[in-house]
Amino acid sequence: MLSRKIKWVVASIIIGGTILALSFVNMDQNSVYFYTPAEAVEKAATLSKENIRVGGMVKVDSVQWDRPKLSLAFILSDLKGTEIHVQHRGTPPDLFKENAGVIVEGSIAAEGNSFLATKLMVKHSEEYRQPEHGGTQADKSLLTKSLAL
Amino acid sequence: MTNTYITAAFTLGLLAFLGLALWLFLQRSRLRILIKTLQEEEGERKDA
Amino acid sequence: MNLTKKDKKAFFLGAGVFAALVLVWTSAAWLVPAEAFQGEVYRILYIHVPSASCAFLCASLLFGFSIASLVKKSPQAQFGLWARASAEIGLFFTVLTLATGSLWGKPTWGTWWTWDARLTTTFVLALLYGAYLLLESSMPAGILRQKVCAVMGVLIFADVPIIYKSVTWWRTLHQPPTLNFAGSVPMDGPILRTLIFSLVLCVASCLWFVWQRSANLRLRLLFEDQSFRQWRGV
Repeated sequence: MLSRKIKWVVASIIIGGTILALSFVNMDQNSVYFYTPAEAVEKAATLSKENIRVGGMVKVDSVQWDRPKLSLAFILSDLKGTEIHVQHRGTPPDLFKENAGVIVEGSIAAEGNSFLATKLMVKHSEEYRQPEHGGTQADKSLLTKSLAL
Repeated sequence: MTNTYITAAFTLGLLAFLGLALWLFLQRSRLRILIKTLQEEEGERKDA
Repeated sequence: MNLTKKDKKAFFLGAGVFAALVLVWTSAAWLVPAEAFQGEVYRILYIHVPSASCAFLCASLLFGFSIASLVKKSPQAQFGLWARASAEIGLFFTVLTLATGSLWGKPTWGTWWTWDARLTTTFVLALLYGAYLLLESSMPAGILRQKVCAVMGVLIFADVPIIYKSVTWWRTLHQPPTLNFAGSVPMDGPILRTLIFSLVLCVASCLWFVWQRSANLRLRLLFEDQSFRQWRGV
């Protein structure tokens, strides 16, 4: 049975801490969860010093997977002309494939053309369909919309 | 492989629901006994 | 065992709802077709979404009971108990949502967790529920506790639309809501139908949990009051 005082203190810490954490994490104008390829390329000079996330689509025919070396390379595209060459060490997520949505986390080169990813996350849309479209997302527009493309 | 995740999620859900229901059941049972015991004591006291 | 007739009826009802839920989840795990992009693992949807919905439902119940306890003169203790039960069950479902979500995230997104707006605000909901429960149990009964808890109830209720809209307002890893309340739902028939079944049964279970936990809290209060009076020799 925790004493009343302790419960008070813990509750206050939880509430206070939550509010503080929220103010710091979300109120920052400059922090987005991920940049679009165009944004990342444009601001590459400044962003190259930070750990950032960029979200886009895996370009068709751009995936190079060297299994023995666990080395992955592919092109992150916004389907509107901006392309970033991404490199990643390690096995990609199961759902990673061309035409999939992906968010890469790591650092962008100052020139904006290449990205060294420390983490790869596949982003999928809110669609739920029975299998018939060959394993890709049927409605691309839903996916690109949520990628802010 | 993904089967592990599916199994884990559904097992977690089932056990959680079952566990909560069981806990509520046992709690109810215990409370009824406690109250009954109290009432019996009250009864004895009044008779005395 | 000493259960009353009413107790037994209530638990039989609960068992019935649970049995139906097991049937639906069996269908969800094996019978419903796989998903076009995610394959088999999307099946976690059938627990994850209903859990989240129940967590939100509890926040609404908590809000309602909080307001009622402030407005209504009596029975106030009753509303306080129902509010507490709602918060407990709300925390239960929020944790279940986070856990099933994580189990779903690893094989699909490739990560157990990320601090995007959707996941963060849901995590905050769990913290808020926890804080509510700690506050409620650490304060002596009375007007101050009612007011403080009511404020917490409002905060918890306010987080819900934020969680829902987080995927639209901010860029997130988590996808936008499928069950949107406008226009067409991008979900094929068999999947949607099974989801609705699971949702309805989970909501029924949630309400049952809150109802039964409230009853237990009331009994406990009864026992404590009676016990105190007898100890004092009144």
